[in-house]
Amino acid sequence: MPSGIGVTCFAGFKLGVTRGPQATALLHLGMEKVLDPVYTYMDYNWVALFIVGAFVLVVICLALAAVLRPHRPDFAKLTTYECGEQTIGSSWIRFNTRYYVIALMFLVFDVDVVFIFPWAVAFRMLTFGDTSLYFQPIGPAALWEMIAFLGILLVAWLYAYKRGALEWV
Amino acid sequence: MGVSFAVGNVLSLLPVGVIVLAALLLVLLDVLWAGRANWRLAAFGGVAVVVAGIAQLVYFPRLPSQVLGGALRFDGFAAIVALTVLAVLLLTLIVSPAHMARMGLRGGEYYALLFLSASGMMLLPAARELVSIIICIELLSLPLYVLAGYNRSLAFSREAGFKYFLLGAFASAFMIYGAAFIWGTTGTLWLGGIAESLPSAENRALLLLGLGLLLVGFAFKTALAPFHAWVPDVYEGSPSPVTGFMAAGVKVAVFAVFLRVLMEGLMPLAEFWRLGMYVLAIITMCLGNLLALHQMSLKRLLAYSSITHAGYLVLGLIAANAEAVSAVLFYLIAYSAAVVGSLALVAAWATRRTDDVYISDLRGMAERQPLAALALTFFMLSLIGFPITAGFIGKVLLFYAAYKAGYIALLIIAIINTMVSVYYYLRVVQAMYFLPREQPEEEGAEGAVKAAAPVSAVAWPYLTVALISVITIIVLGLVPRSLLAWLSMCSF
Repeated sequence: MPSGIGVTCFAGFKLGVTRGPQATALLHLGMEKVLDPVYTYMDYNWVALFIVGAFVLVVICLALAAVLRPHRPDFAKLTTYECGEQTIGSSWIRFNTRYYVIALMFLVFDVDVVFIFPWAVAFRMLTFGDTSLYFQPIGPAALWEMIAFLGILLVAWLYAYKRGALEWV
Repeated sequence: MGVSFAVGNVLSLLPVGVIVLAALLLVLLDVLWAGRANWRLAAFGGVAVVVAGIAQLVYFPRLPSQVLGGALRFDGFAAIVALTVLAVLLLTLIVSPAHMARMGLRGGEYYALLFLSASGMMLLPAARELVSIIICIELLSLPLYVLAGYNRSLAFSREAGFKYFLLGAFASAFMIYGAAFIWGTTGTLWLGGIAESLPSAENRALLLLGLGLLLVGFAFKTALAPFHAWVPDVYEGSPSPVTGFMAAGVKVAVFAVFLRVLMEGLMPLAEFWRLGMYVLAIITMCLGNLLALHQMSLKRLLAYSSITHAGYLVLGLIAANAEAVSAVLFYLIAYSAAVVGSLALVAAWATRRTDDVYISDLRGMAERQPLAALALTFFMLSLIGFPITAGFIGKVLLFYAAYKAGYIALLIIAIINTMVSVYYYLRVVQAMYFLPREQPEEEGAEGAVKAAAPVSAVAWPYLTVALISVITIIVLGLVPRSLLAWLSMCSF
């Protein structure tokens, strides 16, 4: 979703400067697939086939198993399986919030990486420009912007570190 | 010409930059001082706000200056909204440490979150492109979701944070989807580009769908009915300084950008959104007033009154002419002063058990705290729109703009609603001045505890904020011309 917004932003920037209807002038930037009006709905047949296939496969597996297996319920067989141990107490237990915090930190820096990827790909064009494109380079500001972005995330990391979010024991 | 990502005039970003830097430093300072330094953090924040305010005044954009490839364009309109937000932030900072101490709240993330939200508010009116606007609205809202639930010991506060988060996330989803449809049909996200390509847009149905979704998203954020359901619970549950910040700052910023989006980007579709906003305005004003009539809790009353005031502001949005711009800004400034002041007094009188003040608690307040009672009276009068207060001038300007645009019926409905609202505002004043203090029915220890319920003396931070707001209201009510001249200079 963030990359989708990134692509939309990028497209919006591109299309916006030439104000809409003349957007086809920027097709050479690889936006043909989005703007090409010749694609048809037939292209989605493979997607439909994939979805149907997924359903059919699962249904066949479950139905076949239900038909073939014996049905002889016993009290011991109907209890919850816990690797052979006796179950004690309710299955709703308190789990450690460290799992959640680690996942949260991972997510933040994963999104960070998602934003660094397009920047890295476009870095040469941003800094030095490209003679075949209608594009004015911004020079060293490209680097400073990413440093500013990473600086903000550094503050977030320092906060998490000092607050003990990265402790596991 | 080519696509220009030119960084532009970076000095225009200096005020916002100071606030963002202050937010980051507040995070680090909080970690350094281990969450026990409310006053020091607030003082540091206050210094940062003053520096940012001075920077904004020094670099006041007489001519619009572009930054970041034109995605942000700072003009007088944006600068005035930024200054209003900074003033609201400063008043909130003055009140916060005392309130945090009273409620037993630890943690300095509060201040960092306030500053991050304020930076979003300052960037919003300068954004010229739908995705930037949405990002700034997110920047404004996400810290407020956390701040609304900051008082973790109070179930009300946790509920408020959760509700605000869920409904705010829905609102943002609507807005993004609407922006996507508008991009799909017009091919551009820039407000100027949208306005130019609207007459020649092909798929009218998708375009109107996009417009509707975008309006729904904005209506959520500005608390217009029927998207107002979150407002009373969120305003009542949040810590009182946060409620003041939300009610004032979010309204100022989001209404400003809403006005800009409608007037700069969507004017060709004016018949459609004017019709929609017409209906929304009538429902909002009537519903807000009717639901406020029987509220006994002062925070809930202020919440419903903020819904009603959003309804009045929609008149300015519908009018969408030059007078409407300065009228909306003036009204927002007057409303912010009244609301921040009222909520500072609520914070002063709130009990620790429920972060709220009931009208029955206000009985006889005029004898106990004459100065604070007088301040609250002025806030209520300004919210009514009584003469010599800034609220009166704001309403006059707003109604004049609506009259100029020809919406007479809407004007009459707004005036009737103003008259209806007099009841619940003056009921507060009546309780303070004319009703005697309730005697406790039970004698003995329980009665003594109830009689000694903490409606204590108003501490200096709350009184300071209340007096500053009263002075603002009276000055703007008696001499509005200074501000008005400035505002009309900054029209777009």
